[in-house]
Amino acid sequence: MRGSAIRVIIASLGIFAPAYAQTVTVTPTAVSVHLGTFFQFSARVTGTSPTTVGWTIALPAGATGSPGTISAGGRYTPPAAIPSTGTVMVTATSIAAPAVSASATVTLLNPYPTVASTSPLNVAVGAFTLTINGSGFVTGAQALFGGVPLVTTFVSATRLTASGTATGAQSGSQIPVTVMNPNPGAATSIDVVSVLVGPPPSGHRVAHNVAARFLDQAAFGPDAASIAQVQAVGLQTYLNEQFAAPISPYPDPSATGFGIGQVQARFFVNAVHGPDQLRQRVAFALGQIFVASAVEENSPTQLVPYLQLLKNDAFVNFRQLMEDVTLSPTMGEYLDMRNNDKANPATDTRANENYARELMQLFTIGLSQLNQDGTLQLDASGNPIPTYDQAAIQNFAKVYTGWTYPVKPGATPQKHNPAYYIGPMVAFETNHDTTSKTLLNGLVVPAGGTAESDLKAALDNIFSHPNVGPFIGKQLIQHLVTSNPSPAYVSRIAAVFNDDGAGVRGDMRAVVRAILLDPEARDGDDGPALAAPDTSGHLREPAFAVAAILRGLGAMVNDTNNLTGQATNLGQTIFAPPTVFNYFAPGFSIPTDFTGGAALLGPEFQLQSPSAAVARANMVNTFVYGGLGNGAVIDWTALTSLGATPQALVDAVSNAFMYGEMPAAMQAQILSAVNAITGTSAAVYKARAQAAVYLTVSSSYYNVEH
Amino acid sequence: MQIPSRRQFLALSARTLSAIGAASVAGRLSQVNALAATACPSDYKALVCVFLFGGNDCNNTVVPISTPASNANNSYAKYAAVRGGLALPQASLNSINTSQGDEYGLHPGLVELANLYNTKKNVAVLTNVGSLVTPLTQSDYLKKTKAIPLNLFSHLDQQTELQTSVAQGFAATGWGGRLADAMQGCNATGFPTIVSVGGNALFATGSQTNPATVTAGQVLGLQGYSTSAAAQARLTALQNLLSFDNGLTLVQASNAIASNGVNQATALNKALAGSTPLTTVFPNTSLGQQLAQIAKIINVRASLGVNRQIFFAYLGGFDTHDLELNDQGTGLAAVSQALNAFYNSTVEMSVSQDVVTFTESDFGRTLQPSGGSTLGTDHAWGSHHFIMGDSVKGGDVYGTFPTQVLQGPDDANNRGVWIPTTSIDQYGATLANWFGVDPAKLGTVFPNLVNFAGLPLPAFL
Repeated sequence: MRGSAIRVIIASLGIFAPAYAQTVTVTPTAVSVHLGTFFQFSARVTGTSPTTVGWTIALPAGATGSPGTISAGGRYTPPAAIPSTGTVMVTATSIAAPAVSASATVTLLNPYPTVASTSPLNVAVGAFTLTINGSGFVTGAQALFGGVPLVTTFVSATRLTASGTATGAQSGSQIPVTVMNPNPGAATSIDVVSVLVGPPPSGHRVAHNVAARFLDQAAFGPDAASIAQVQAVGLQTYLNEQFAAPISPYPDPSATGFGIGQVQARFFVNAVHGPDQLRQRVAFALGQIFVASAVEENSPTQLVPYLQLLKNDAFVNFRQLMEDVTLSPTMGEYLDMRNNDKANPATDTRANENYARELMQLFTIGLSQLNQDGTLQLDASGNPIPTYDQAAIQNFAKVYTGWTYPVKPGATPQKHNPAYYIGPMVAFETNHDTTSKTLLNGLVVPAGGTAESDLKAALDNIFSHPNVGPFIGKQLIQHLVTSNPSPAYVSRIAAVFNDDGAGVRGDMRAVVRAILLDPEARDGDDGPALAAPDTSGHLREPAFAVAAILRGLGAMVNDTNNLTGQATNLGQTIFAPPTVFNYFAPGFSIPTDFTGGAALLGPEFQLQSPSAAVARANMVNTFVYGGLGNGAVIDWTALTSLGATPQALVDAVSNAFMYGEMPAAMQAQILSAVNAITGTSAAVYKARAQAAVYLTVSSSYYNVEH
Repeated sequence: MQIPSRRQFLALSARTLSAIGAASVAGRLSQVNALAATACPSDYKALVCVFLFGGNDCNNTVVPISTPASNANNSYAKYAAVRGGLALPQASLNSINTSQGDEYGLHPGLVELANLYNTKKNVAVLTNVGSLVTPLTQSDYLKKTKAIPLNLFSHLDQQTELQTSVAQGFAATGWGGRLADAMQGCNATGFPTIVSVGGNALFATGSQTNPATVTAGQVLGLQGYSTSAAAQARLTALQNLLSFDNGLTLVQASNAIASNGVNQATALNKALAGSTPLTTVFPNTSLGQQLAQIAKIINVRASLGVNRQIFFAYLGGFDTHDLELNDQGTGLAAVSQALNAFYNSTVEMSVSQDVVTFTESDFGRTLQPSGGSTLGTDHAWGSHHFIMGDSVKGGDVYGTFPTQVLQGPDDANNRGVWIPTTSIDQYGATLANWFGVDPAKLGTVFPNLVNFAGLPLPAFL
């Protein structure tokens, strides 16, 4: 019933005639409110007791659409779309004296548009079409490219397409993309989203240096074949191909014997030759976040199913990854979730807290509340704000009770199944704690849940925490691109984690794509991007250094290789981080003595003690002068053939390892060493090739990928 | 003086750094720090930190048998009642007595340490030590009226706080490194005061000092260079590349670290080349080999020109959420055997009075076991540690032993998590004082020590 009609009926009853002045005042009486925001009204009542009001909302007579809603406390939430008249009426009516009321008029305005991302992130000079993802778009929204209007098509409140032209003058620049909503309430988005305009399309090929550097981020380093592929199809298509590439396998545990040596050897075969380079890089990074170390999971039967899970799940939704890891029997064994029974008063034991703690501290949200850009939120005293307390840990520990190993085929399910690692853990309900548990942000899991229902509620609870995007996003950036991303870079990636543009949270394919195509990742393609001191890049972790050197050399590697020992010498035993804290911490700071006083993160530097740095050079010495040992061979023919022409030799080495961008001063040093090897024999030419390679890949300029 | 907030402490560190200025790569080794100008004694002293990663379960390391003098509420029966299936049989424990007539039992694996404690009286036990910002009673903790360490039950944070002694968290230097900073003028050649055989360790990182690192069993120094002209030209090129200023900070950092590595290895190789190998046999375990490496370096202290040295070694595997009886047994046996061999080597080198070895760990563990496939324990707080050396006033137990009762007067919650009665600052200060640090500098080594002013330092040295 319309509000005005109700007031007329009540007034006509005449039975509420006040004995003294009763009034209701609404403040304000007129206001404009943007869709997507809310507005708090207040009401003042005199002459009645109590002085409470009831709030109602209505459209003007004859209007169509929805007026929105108003809460019992007077908080108005606009509808999803502006109704036909563009206004609604808010009324406050005295509870004690229902004939007494007051109204306000709300004029509704279009929502504030926000831009989250565009696809693609790079365009060539010339005509382009962009898909713009964000929120608050309305029909008539106008996309702007560097302030210039684009021909814009409205697709939905979260998507527009727009086309225009990038000029030659814009080549190499980041052009901001904004969206302006029309009246009523015209407003322009303020998020910093930009599109990189590439070089003019001559030859239509990605430049060699761009392709090679991209492969240091999206693969285990460039080799001739992958450089050619990226040049031919471009970065976006290469990524699509990588998402679809067949997954390189691990050896079958039944065929490997007891130790994990063959599994580790296969890591290097896959890293050097496998087609699914990006998946391997991402899975290797995920294995350093979701650590289930071979220090304890030390047989292939235990280890391989977990490694396979990480590869299979490298590009699935993060919520799915969380669940698959949580129910992995290998992880259950590593962090004591398997056979974690509810508290037993008779033996006075409690639910094991190990998985509850590490799932949050290390795998998802971290210890402290984060802003979207990865920086710490601070309280009024300047201290970080914890994400959870000990009570939450104990509650989560109760949630994760009642799971045991999967049932071996043909066996009878028991409350504690014997160790078996194929498939997810299974629940045995009598071991599950069915009390109610309070989790994060006040979420209460009611009593009486099953192991599975409680688990899903808990994982949903953690997954929805705003920390996940920046916490995981920043670490993936650190593994793939740079140790010190700008807060803006982290924020852009976290935004994609929060919403991939199609309203999905946790889309890891979109996240990985965004990380690699972000302007900050591509910034160094033409050489160090920033004025000195340039703090970009990251030290190659030992496994990456080994694989990248071998790929750069075009080495052949098979399953009998001993390359694991090389990485172990440098502090990184494949699949065996010393603890659940991985080989190195994402927050490790490089001692300021070495950075000229600058405070910089350098996770991989945690392994780079002075003796480890020397050991790395010695590893290169072994590779170059002593060979790679069993199962791995370098063919020096191509480089040796350039031995008579030292500059051509140095150029080839620069192309293979430094994107063709080796600085002149560095080339001069290598040339002086090469030229000191005198003579014209094949042995001399090979020695020259070896010297050039040794000096290049033992250098810090190579070992810090930038 | 008020307790420094995290921001104030970080500001303090930054001022200290800027006073030193940026370090030059080549000049690093011969730089004498103006702040550390100290009159140094001519004798030799070394501190050796053995860090047990994971949080060693103190409750099965030192077990009260009959302790009427220190805590009449404790007894083997009380301990066993709470420990249930994790209780070690009394007959299996290594009995030690205190000067007050109490009896404790050391873990069955600590045979050698118990023997040194009993026969040579050169091993001391310090009980219930851990990270604290300020002295804390149970009431202070439960009512939250005093500052407490940051992220108490997190491995990474507690490993950091036990190595830095800054319990509020976020310190970028370790107390071993700051102690080395304070003593830097005492070494003639500029070879680093502090050596880690456990890789980069925060304990060993100071504001002006970074540790030399040696990996036990690994060859020292650059390989692959003969005396030929071509090889030497290549070496020259490599050295030039190490000082090539390319404007990239992380590349510069990598170069600085590699330069240190080359220079340190050269100095060590030179010193070791002239030395007589030790005859003491070390166990072929990770810790045994680390301590063997440390012994080799102590053996050439004169050639290195060092009067004061600090060493860092470690052993992992103490995070016994599960399989505790087995895993802790293995770990503690390795510790006992390695420390015993190391002591013997200091006797062989005639420096047994001059070397003090001490243990640390992330935290202790809950007195109450946790269920799982086999019994284990969860993260806790105060723990018990060992100090070994002929200068140590050993054969005694120091500190205040917690009452072995859940929700008792020493429990931070309800699982037997001991609120420490000695802080890492007090523990370290005793060691630093013996080491000869200038008393005026003790506050820079242990910034929180001022919060314990007026309280006696543990008297094991």
